Amino acid sequence: MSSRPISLSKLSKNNLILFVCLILVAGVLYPLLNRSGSEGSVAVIEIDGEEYTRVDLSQDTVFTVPTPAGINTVKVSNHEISVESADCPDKICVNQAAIHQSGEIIVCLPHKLVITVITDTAKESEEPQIDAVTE
Amino acid sequence: MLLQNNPGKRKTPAVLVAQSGVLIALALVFSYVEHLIPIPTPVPGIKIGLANLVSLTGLFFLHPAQVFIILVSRILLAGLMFGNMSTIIYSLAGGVVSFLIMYLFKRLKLFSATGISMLGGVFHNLAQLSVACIILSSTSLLMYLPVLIIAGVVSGLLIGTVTELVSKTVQKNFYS
Amino acid sequence: MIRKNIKIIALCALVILTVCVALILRTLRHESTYETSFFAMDTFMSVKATGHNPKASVEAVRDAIMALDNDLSVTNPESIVYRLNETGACVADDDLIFLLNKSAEARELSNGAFNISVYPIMKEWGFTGNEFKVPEEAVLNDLCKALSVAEISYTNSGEPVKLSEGTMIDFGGIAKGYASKIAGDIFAGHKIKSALINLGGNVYAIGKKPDGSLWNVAVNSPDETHKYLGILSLSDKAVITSGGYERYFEKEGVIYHHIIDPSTGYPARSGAQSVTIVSDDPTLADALSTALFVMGLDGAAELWRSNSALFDFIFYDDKGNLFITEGVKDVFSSDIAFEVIQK
Repeated sequence: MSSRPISLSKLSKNNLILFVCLILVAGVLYPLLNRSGSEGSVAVIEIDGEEYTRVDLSQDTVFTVPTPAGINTVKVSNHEISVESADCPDKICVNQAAIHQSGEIIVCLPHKLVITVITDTAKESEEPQIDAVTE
Repeated sequence: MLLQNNPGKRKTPAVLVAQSGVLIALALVFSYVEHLIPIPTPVPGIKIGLANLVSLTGLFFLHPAQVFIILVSRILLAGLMFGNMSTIIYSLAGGVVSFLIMYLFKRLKLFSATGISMLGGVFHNLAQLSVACIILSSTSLLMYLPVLIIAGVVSGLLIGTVTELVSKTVQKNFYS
Repeated sequence: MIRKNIKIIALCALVILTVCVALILRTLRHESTYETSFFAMDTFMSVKATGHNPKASVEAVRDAIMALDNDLSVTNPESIVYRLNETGACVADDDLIFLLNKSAEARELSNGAFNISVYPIMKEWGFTGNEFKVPEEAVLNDLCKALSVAEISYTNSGEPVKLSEGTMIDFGGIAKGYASKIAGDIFAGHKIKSALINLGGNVYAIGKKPDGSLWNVAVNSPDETHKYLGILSLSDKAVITSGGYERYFEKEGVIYHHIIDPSTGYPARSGAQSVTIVSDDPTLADALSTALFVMGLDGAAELWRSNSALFDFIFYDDKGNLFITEGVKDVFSSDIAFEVIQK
C-alpha cells in the first residue's frame, strides 16, 4: 500500500475501533435527535423554512403545493402523507415512503419543501388550547 | 501504461492529462450507474458512492492535487450531464469535505483504506446534511444525522474493502 | 515516537470533535420554558419565553417593565411623567420621545380620538383614583376647551419637553403596548424566538409556540352570553382590547366607563362594547384600541380601510353584533356569527 508497510493487524484493529466509535456516536445522537414515536395527526408543510399549510391526516386528500421552484403533489391517505409526484429533478421526495409518526419528515431539497408530521393536541381535543385571553 | 510510475521521475503533462481523463471517465461511469439505479431509502441522500472508489484508490497512488482535480471535474460533469445546480452544490460540499478528511487520515497513516473510507463516507454525509440544513433554513433534517452516520460507515466499509482489493492489484501490476 | 504521538493526538481530536458536535446539538435542542408573573402598571402581568436560558430574558423583561412603570406612572412622585405634569417641563429620555411620537401618530390617525392629554378629564371623573364622580357639564366643557389647545413641545432625547399651561398627560392608553414592544426587543436581543407576553389582557405573541403551532389568543366576551367572542390563531402579533367593562362606575342607574371621548369629555357612547386590535406594532395597537372604541364602528372601519396594512380589528357592539376586518378573517374562529368588513 505504500513504501513503508504498516502491520496489517494494527491497522485493522484501528479500523475496528473507528467503526465502533462511529456507530457509538450515531447511537448517542439518535435519542438526542429523534423526535418521532407517537402517531401524528397533522402534517406541517414548510417552504423555505416558512410554514405553508397544515393538513389533517385523518382526511384523505390529494393536493398540489406550488413552491417557487416547482410543484409537488401531496397525497394524504390512510393517516399517512406522501409526495405522489413532483417536477423536481431528483424525485427523492416521491421515492420516500409515506410517513405517519410524529417527527417523521419528507424533504424535497430542490424545492426547499419539508413535510413534518406532528401531534397536534389542539386538533385532538377539538377545542383549541387557549394561550392567553385579551380583555 | 498510463499508470506506470517510474520512481524519481516526474510524470509528463501528457501522461497526467491522459491519466486524469481516463479516471474522470471511470468516475463518471460510476456516478451514472448509481444515478440509473436509485435505491429506495427511508432517508434521502443515502447512496453507496461508487465514484469514491476512484478518489480513494487515487489517494494511494497519485498526487492529492490530481485526485482533487479528478473529483471536482467528475462532480461538475456529472452535475451538468444528469443533475442540476442543487445536486452540484450538495455533491461538491460532500465531495470536497470527504476528500480533505480522507487525505488527512491517509497522511496520518492511522487507518487502512477501509477506515479512511468510512470517515470519508461519514463526513460526506455530514457536509451534505449541513448544506441541506442551511439551504432549507431548518434544523428538522438533523434527525437524519444518526442514520446518515451509519449509512456513511456502511458505504465506506463497502467502498474501502473494494479499494483494498483494487489497490493490491494495482500495486502488484503497476508499481512493483 | 513523534509520529506515534501524532496518531494519538489525531484520534483524540476526532473524539473531541464528536463530543463537541454532540454537545452543540444538545444545547441546540436544550430549550426550556420560563414563566413569571408580577404586578405592574396597575395590572397583573405574565411573561413566558422558550429558548436557551429563558430565565435571564424573562427577568430582564420584568425589570424593564418595572422600570418603565416607575418612569411613566402619573401617581408616583418620583416618575418623569409626574414631574412633567406637576412642573410642565422635564428632560426627555428615549422612552418618552418614542411614546410622544407614537401618541402623536395615533392621535393623528384617529383624528383626536386617542389623546394622552385627556388626563385632566380622567382625573375629574375620578378614574385615576377610586373616588368616582360625575363632573359638572360646565367643568367638562372648560376642560375640553383646554384640551383642544393643549400642546406638548419636544424635540429629541436629552432635550426639554414642555407642556402648555394646564396640560397634563397620561400614557395609560399606550404604556402597556410600549412595554410589550420593549419586551419584544429584549427577547429579540436574547434570540428568544417563542414568547408570550400578557400584560393584563394586552397580549403580544412572539414567534410560534415551542411546538411550532400558532398561539391561540381568546378575545374575552364583555357580556355573559358567551365565554369568548372568538379565538385568534396567530404568530408575531400584538392583540390588545379596550372595553368599557374594564373600569366603570354606576350612578343613578347610569353606567360611566373609563374610556373618555376627548371631544365631549364624557365616556364614549359610540355603541362599542369591546374593540380588539391585532397588529405587528404593540404600541400602536394599544393606542388604537382606545381610539377605535371612541370612534365607533363606522369611524373604525373607515380608519381601517385607509390603514389596513397597519392593523386589523374585532368590534363587538352593545347590541351583541360582532364585526371583524378582512385581514383577520382566516385566523379568527368563533361560535358567534360575525360580519366581515371588506376593504
